[in-house]
Amino acid sequence: MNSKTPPHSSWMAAAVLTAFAAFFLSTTSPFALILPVIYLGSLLLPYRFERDSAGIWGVRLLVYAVFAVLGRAPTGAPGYFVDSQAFTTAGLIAGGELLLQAFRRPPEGARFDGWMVSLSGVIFLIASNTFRIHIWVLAPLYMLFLLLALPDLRPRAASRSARSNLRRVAMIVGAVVIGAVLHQSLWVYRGSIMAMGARLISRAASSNAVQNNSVGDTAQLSSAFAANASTTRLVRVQGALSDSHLRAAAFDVYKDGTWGPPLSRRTMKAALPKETNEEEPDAERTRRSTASAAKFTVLRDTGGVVFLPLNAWAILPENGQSFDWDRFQGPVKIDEPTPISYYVIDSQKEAYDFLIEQGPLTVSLEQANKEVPAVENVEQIAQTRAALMIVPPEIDPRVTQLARDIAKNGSTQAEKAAMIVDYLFSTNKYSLEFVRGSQDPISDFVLNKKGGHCQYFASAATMMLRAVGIPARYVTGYYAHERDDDGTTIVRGRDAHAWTEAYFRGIGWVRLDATPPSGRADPAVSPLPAYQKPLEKAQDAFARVRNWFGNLTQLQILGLVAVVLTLWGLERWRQHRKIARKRALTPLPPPQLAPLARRFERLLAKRGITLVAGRPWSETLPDELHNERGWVEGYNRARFDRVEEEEIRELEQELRKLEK
Amino acid sequence: MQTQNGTRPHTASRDALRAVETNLSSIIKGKSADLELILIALASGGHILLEDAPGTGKTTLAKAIAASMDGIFRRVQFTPDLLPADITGSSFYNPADGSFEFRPGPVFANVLLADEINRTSPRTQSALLEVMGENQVSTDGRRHALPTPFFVVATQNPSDYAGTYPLPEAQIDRFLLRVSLGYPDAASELDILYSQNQHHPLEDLRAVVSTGDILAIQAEVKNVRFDRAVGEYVVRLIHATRDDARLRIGLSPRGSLALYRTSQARAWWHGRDFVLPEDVRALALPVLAHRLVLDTKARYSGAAAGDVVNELLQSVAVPR
Repeated sequence: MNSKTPPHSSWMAAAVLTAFAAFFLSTTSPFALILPVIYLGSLLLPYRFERDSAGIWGVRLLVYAVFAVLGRAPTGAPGYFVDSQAFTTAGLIAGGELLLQAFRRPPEGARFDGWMVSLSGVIFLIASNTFRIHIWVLAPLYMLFLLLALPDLRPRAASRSARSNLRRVAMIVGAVVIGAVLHQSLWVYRGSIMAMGARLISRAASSNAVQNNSVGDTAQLSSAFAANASTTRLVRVQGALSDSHLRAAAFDVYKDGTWGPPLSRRTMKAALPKETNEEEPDAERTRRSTASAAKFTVLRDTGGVVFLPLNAWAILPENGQSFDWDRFQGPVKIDEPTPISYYVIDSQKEAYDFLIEQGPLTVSLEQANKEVPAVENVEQIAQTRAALMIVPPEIDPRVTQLARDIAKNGSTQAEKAAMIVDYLFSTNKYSLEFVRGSQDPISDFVLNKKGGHCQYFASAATMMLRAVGIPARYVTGYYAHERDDDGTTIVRGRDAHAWTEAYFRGIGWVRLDATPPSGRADPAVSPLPAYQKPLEKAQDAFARVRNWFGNLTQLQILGLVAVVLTLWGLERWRQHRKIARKRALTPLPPPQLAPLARRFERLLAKRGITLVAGRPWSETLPDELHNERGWVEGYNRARFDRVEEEEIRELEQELRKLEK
Repeated sequence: MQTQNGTRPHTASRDALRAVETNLSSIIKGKSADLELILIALASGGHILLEDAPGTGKTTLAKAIAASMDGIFRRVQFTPDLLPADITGSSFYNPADGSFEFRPGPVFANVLLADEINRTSPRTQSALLEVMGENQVSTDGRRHALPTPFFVVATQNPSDYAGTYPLPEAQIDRFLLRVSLGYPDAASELDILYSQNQHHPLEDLRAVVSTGDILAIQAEVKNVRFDRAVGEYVVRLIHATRDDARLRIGLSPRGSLALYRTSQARAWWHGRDFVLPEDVRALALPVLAHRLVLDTKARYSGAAAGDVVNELLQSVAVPR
């Protein structure tokens, strides 16, 4: 480290910070904030790496190790090798390189190459935010800039010896070993490191705590409803919604306070062409259908689960992606990185030209579906129907008895269901905390008339409906209530909810929410922090730019690159001319000395000493170059005093000696 | 920087000045670069303005300079009630022969110490204009020449201290060099503490140079070769100050002359008989900065005259 701060120009710093800001807006990781903080540090701290320091390699390896660990795939492979993360990884590597450049000591006397840093900033921004194919265009461009910077990395004349080369190799090997050790230890302790980082960041923005937004594999009845705090946006819905309950997954089997089966164990099948209109839709039909549909945009990774209202009639992907689903229980999944958009066509609106009974997730329990051959399996319908009627033995028999008592005056299934829901409404109080007893939590909740949150109301309603012979299931999802003025509805992490779906004979699937209104999100909403809305606006604006860029062809990108390179070349040429003009103003030595002066300057350039135009040599020459300084003294006498021809010849001989 | 690698044989007069340097450095510790400027001013026959915070040794240095020379030394403490005649001298009526007789004031000296020069009114400060510019005093239509060499060492606190009158531009322009000693480093300060234990080392100083030596030095300095390329560099530098938007007043030819003469003196002091651009660059700040007057806008935006000079040194091309 050396204490010579390069003169950063403010426009350059602004370009780099903009790149970082855009990166932060586009990534789900708050860890991206670390990069601009370190960059700002480079502006304030006087410490710089020497040009050929092995420490740079140490830092580089550390940066790569951190990114590899933070970006590891569930399989354990480092992030770089996971195809879907390639672009983020490339962005992080470029960002790390950018930081290193900011911390590198510039060549002696040279101005810091602002173009190098700000262009790599732009590339960093592009690389980290576009679809992965473009990396293959941008990565070589980045390499090109690195190559352009390489002459600066040339070791200095003084250190060019076998021993110092050996030492340099040893230092690089040492750095690699240290890097590998660091990498492994980071991987081993990644859990606590991530937790520490999350804690640090959650202190800075407590309401936006890092949390797993994925829809749970199973639905466990928890004692506290934790998801309530997060204001992170999950889904944006443009268009009207007939139902505020957006379902993610339904669960049939209850065991030990947990609803199953786990999502990971369900058999997902690809959607049929008819269900999602996957064959080339004619433009008119797409226009007609999407015009009346609600457009859902999933902004955060939710494990690929797609959100739908119960009565969704049909679902259309935006870019022809395919859906997978378990047709009897859900969920519907889409295997694409977020953000994903899809259209949901509501059954209450105009008829769509293919009809799957109530909707994609609402298989009839009475008859086989004519339209969709895969669910013609009557046997499977009967099995599902039976499963939805099971009250497991762990539920206290008094719960069943209570349900029957409550509903005994109901003449239809709908009336019975309404009585049960009314009972829960009026008997149990909403509370975010549930004090668990030793009993089964559902029985405990119902029999002891305890307070609980939506999970308990939904579970109890499901069990009691089953007790009176109505097929019912437990549903998790989000309660969409935050409508903006422009007709969009925002769903945030805190809107998580649970409710019940019941099947009424002759009617079909019905959504029942037994949670008292005071327990649903809207009355309980605390105001959003002031920065939330502007930040989201910025994120959306950036997402539009990103989308635009993602839709460019390779050829168009190459064109952009060519424009940037041309501009860069023009700027270099302009600077060159400026220097040349300044040189022209510099008084030239008399003709007999001019060639000597030129040769001496070339000699210095070869030694890696950069001369500054318009300054005396003595100010640029390092003190340790005694011979060169001596020559300059002789030259000065010849230049500014009167000397004989012979002395000039001697001067030339001296110079020849130096050149050797 | 250039060193005196025996480019030319040492002359007797330079040895004399070296003795002055030894004298001064026994009093003012750890400030060899500033002392060099003082010697350069002596060698080029110009006046010195010592500007610094109280207690940094301005007056001590001025007294040491006077003590090292065997000429006439006078000291004037500039107070707010001082009048012009108090320093230049005035005519008295002589009842014996009924004529007016001129009684010379303290300015009639070889070394004049003008202590705290900015504590007196501009009226009295202005009385020094003729004295410093032309080495003479004119009263009652008669001209009284000052002794040669004539050397003013003025001290002042920076003008934003309370109870001071900033020197007028015309007056400040007459100082060849402005020197700021600044605070000594820790080692030198320790030295100062111990050296003053019994008595002030100033009392031990002997005169080591005569007025004649000084005049000889000044004559020798004028013979130092000033190449035309370096002369053009000086002129380009001075002209750049006149074109600079941040400066209300650029430099006068007196400024270029001062830079010319001091560069010669520096070359001579370093044992060369030709001037290098490096000499000009080394002296630009002490010789030029105090003469520049910043534009109001530039002043409010935090620029300092010294920064402007340094910037011009970077931008004006140097002959090589």
